[in-house]
Amino acid sequence: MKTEKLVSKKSNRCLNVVANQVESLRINNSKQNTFRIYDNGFIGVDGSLGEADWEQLEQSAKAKLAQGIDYPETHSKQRVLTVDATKHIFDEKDFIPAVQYLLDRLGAENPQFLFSNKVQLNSSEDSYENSDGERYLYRGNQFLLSLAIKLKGSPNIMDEGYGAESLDFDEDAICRDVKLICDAFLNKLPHVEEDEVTVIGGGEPLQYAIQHLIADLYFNNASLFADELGQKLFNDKLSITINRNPAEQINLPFFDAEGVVNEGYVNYLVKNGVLERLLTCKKSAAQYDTPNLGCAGAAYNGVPNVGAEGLDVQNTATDLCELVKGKAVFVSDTGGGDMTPSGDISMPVMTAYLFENGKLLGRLPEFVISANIFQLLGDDFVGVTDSGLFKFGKQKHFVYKAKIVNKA
Amino acid sequence: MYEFKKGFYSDVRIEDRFSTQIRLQNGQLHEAKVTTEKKAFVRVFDGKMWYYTSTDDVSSVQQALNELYAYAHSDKNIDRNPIVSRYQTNKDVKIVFAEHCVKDVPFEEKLKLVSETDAKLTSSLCNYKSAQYLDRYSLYEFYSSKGADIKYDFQTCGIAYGLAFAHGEDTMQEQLSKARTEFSQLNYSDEELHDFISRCEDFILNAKPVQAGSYPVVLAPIVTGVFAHESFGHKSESDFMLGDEAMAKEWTLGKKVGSDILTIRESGVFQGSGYVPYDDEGTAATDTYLIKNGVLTGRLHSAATAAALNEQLTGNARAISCDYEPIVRMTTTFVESGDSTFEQLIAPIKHGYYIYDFKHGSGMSTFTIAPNLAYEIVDGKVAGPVKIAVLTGNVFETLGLIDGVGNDRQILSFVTGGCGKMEQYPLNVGLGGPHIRVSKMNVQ
Repeated sequence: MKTEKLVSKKSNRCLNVVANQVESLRINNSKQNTFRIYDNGFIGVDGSLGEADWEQLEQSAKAKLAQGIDYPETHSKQRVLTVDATKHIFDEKDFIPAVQYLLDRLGAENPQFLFSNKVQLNSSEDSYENSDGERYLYRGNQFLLSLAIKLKGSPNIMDEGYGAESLDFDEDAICRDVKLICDAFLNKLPHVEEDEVTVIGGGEPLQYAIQHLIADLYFNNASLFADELGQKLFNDKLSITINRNPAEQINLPFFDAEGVVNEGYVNYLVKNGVLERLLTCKKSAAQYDTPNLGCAGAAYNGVPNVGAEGLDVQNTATDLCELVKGKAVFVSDTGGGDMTPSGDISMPVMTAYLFENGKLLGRLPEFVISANIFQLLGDDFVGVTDSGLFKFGKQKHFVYKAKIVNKA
Repeated sequence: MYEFKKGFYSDVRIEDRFSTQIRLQNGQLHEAKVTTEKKAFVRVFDGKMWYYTSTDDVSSVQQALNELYAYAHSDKNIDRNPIVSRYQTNKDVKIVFAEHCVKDVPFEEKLKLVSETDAKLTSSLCNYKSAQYLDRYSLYEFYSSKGADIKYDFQTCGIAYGLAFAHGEDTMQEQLSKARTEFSQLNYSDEELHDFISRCEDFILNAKPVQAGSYPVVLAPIVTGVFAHESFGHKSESDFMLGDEAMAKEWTLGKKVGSDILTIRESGVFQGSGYVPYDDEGTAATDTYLIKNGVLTGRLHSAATAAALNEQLTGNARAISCDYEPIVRMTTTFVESGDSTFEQLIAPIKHGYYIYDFKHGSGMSTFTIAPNLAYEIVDGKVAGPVKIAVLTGNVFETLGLIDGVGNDRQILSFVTGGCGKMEQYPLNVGLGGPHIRVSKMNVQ
């Protein structure tokens, strides 16, 4: 028999912004508690909100063993680890004035635009402990900026977006980034002549591949990548990880929902183009006799399942200009693309800019990116970097070659 | 009930939510969860700023109110504020689901329903199955400093099956789901299950790629509903007009925005996943024509947007839960029926596509619908299945290209997924319409 206790405390101060004005302050503090028990190959789980009555949760979780939900009982060595990754960002009293000052400045520097949506200060404390003696505690926080940018008079709900998370508040960097976008947005350009271009995006195509790397689909022959585990599948430069390294991630516990701590906090899904592992939790890893990636998620009162928190693509370059020689198309906003059963991707692009020599030169008309997932992550994959264009926070740029069609 | 302080507008929303989730994977039980959560969301407005907090201890609501009052600044004229003056003061009890409450259905019956249906969904081409039973019964209370005192309920339940098929190098995933307001309405007939499997098998065996281009397209009722929701519903949410006078002029009521045969309605009165008898500001549901015969006739409001645009409340201020503040959202959005049969809609099409259902949709200046099952139309008849990644088009152009509206309107409910807007996802909404024909859409 094995038992686990998890506690997750979240604190959120969220400002809603409407047309350059702080409109509201939302204060949320929450606490979720989870008790799990594993016995005779079954799991029982219960959870609660607020202050926990652990005796009651334990009784309830024990009673749920009778539901007969299979789950492997794994054991581990005693280990205790605490990581406090919090940094001082604001005194609470300074939060609203600082954000309003930022909004005033953004409005003054970009008078043709309106800025709305959310600015948040979040902090969290997550703990995991089990009857084997593992005890983990993580504390983190973040400044989270998510701006919807609207050209005044535009018929659109929003025309652009700017968002980043950080452990600091760098007003100058934010203003520089936003002005870069707004100036480029106002400079309308014709379509690029080429039908095949270098694309700088945010990793959107990866979402289509990721669902095919879930162990349950893979081992039931429902994945596009069937029988490729251990094989070279993608470009040599492509490495996809679950990265829970507190030095690199913001406000993300170093352990997953089952208390798995990967060596160096990182585990490889794809390493140098080779499909190394699949997305698993302890249950699916045991069921299919495959190594666990350590990416389980769970509702506070639910059975653990496969998650993808901490999914990361390793940088291949220290600067965008290393990856892009000459012109490229910088994709800022895509709208609901998808992939056919054969792996063909169509991705409508609503906002894109011409990029050259490290600068956004102007806004391109709408078009559609057309690619095949094998090609895009194979020969057409160029690289990844989190440096080169924006100064605030870490914003990954995923670079690949693709066809563009339906030029508006 | 609560001591609301003078000089402020305040309200309290409480949701007592019961929910069940049962999940099977390849017939094996993976989740069996019953959740009961009671939470409150508290708002205080001082005429300049809103202050919100939430709590899972409803006995502490008064304390939460008092803490928010400490942040705000009293305004003796708060009742004359244009937002506050619009708030309704409804006093009502509207309990409609208590007699058939999903709380009273034994867990074993729910498990039996989802398991037995799952066992009937078999195919030699299906490699993986997931099955879910989901239900929710919510009892809402709403109290305001203006005197609103409302109690109402909401219920939804459903079963959803996700099947993964493979043939050669092709894979596909398709979902079968049914959402209703009563548990007794959730059964599938054997014929319905057989038809679903046959359609999926035909697709994975025979679907051909399409030549990307612009084609006439007929949308099934569920896809019409998604199109209405994504292409125009979100644009009808008035919060995107706040602070933009040029925008308000651009969207003057009476403007022609679609073809003459297009009418889009929005209403919270339909019992289903978009049932919202009172919104989260205590406003009673209304029936709003967004577009009538191609002309812009209405839009969706919270009290703040109604005040800013000097229009009437519509009952569309909604939050996904008591963790969030209400914002302008849809309830049930649908295209009104026309007078054509399905056969009449496809008859004039030499070469086009019939979009039978969808995976997801989105809409800004360009809308996108990712179909799942789709078929070629050749010489006025539905032909074989085709693989389409996305349908796209400019919203306003496409609204003007609707040249046929069916007489077979359906209002549909959903038990999985929902509508997303900024941080709030998923929100339960309904949508629907009849089959419609669009003379030209980009097919990829």
